Amino acid sequence: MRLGLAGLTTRGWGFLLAGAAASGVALVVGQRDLLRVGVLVLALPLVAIAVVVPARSRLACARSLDPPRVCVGASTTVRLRLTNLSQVPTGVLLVPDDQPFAPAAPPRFVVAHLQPGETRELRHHIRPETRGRYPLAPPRARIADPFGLAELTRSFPAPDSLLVTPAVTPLPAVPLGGDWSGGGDSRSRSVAAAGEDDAATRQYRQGDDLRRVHWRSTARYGQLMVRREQPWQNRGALLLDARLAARGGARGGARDDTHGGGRHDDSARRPGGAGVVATFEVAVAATASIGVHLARHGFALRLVTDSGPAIDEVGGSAFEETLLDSLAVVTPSRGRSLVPTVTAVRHGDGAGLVAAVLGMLDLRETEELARLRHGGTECVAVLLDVASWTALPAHAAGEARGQHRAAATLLRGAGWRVVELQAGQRLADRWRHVAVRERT
Amino acid sequence: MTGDDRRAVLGALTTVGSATALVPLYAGVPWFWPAAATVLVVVTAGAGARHTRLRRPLVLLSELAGLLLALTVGWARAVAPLGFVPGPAAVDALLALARVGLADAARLAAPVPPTPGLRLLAVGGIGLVALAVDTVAVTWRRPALAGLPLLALVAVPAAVLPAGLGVLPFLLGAGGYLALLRADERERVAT
Repeated sequence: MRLGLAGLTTRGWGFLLAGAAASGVALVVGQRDLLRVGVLVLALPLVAIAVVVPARSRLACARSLDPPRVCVGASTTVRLRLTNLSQVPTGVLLVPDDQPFAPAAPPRFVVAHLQPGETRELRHHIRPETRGRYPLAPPRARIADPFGLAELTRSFPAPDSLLVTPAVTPLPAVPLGGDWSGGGDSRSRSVAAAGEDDAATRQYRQGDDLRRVHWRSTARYGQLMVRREQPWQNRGALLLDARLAARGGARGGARDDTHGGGRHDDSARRPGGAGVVATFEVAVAATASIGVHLARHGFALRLVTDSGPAIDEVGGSAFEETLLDSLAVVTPSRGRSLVPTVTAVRHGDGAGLVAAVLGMLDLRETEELARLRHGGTECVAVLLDVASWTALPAHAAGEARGQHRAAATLLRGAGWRVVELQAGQRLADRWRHVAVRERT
Repeated sequence: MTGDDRRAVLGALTTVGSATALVPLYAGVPWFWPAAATVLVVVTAGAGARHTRLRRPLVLLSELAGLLLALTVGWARAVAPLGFVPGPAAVDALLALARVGLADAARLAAPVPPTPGLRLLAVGGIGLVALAVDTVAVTWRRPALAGLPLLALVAVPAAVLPAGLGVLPFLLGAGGYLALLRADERERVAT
């Protein structure tokens, strides 16, 4: 009963009190007509509770997301399936499905008269604007009586989450010259190392399936070796410079509060905050686009970043998915130097191609990067002109611009293909500059 | 027909239904149809004002004007300009007639003969209740409070008649009131 009274609306309470008062007065005065009115007014909210409380527990709701992962700007369909488990039809149900990350006009469904055993499907679309992993708020249903005297809200636990991956822009296919199509230790070297055997091998890494261990090579090298899947594939490394420090953000003491999307407020309050977020998002989107582009051109890629674990090479569409999943939730890192990340690229399996998305670089980091290019390694850098996004103080902006120019020159000098990207420019337009390897 | 119109119609029907409580007070019902017509005029004036998006106090004013106009046509046609404009002379005539009616009411016991003064009291009273119900339930959207003017309407015969109201006026009034609540709740949910 306490639960029931808690479900009374203001109107319900008003009726209860007015009805009680009228009935009391009518009894004292002996007025039959007033007593009739008083009893009606008093009974209405009680009947409303008696209707609403059992209806609440005899309702089931399931939710599904189709698809459960979506890229920024695309829409996903949310399906709510509401079932009446009771033996009587329900009244009018109000089903809001408002999600904190989709604030524009949250849908409110009105479901009238759900027959016993009937299931009704409610559908709406959400179109998230920022990447990230979003836990969805549990679906709710408001159950009310027809007169608005009692209402209860029931929420249905449903631990769904929506993964919003960065937007991927298709890049023009640009001939890279050189051995773009046969870089690194692809076919020739692998086969040479593995001898007559048609299985190319590499060192065992944690997580490899033991059934893939190649015992003959293991015996020869004295180390556990595994067969490499798809040895004919070109291999490359994708480097994302995720440092806040590389975007002109608060250096060092920055907190990684820019988890995915929607929570940028804090960082936006810092000097140049909005620009910091913008450059980071541009870098993530560029990494995603380049990764997908290369994967579709037959590269087996490895993602190396200073934020979060690296993704190992997986071929083809599987990589696309893994890459986008991990880029969906990548957050800016607090690291100050890119050198460890560059080292990680170098120490990985020899890559025929390095594609790097870079922010602000100091001389040491640039030199480390420059040294990645040797032999047949093809190196591509997307160098973000951070100063064009971030509102820096004049002297800092000048410094950043100088660093940017110096880094571009140095990398080009080392044989990198450098694509410079400024605010307002689209990667798809700039990408054709990859074809040109300038030596200065 | 908007939701406001629907609720206005329900409010008017409820008022007229509750007004059946007055039937045993009078010997004969020559006041009933004039009262229904007056309710119609009041509610129509309110609905028209709402459709032209007048502010709420102006809606109330136009309903008052409608009520005055209806009463003038009914009881002060002779002194009113054009037969319906409620000028000062017409208002004076109505007030005088109402005083006569009140004096009659104090003098006579129910059931009273439907003298012009007593009829004016019945029609004017029902018109005022209709105005109050419409203002509260539709213009200010507090349909639950519309019960109070309805209660005031039935309180007069309930207090005067020794046998009470009987069941029919109660059922008509309560049914209309619940329908009004329900219409409002349904609309509140849907928007």
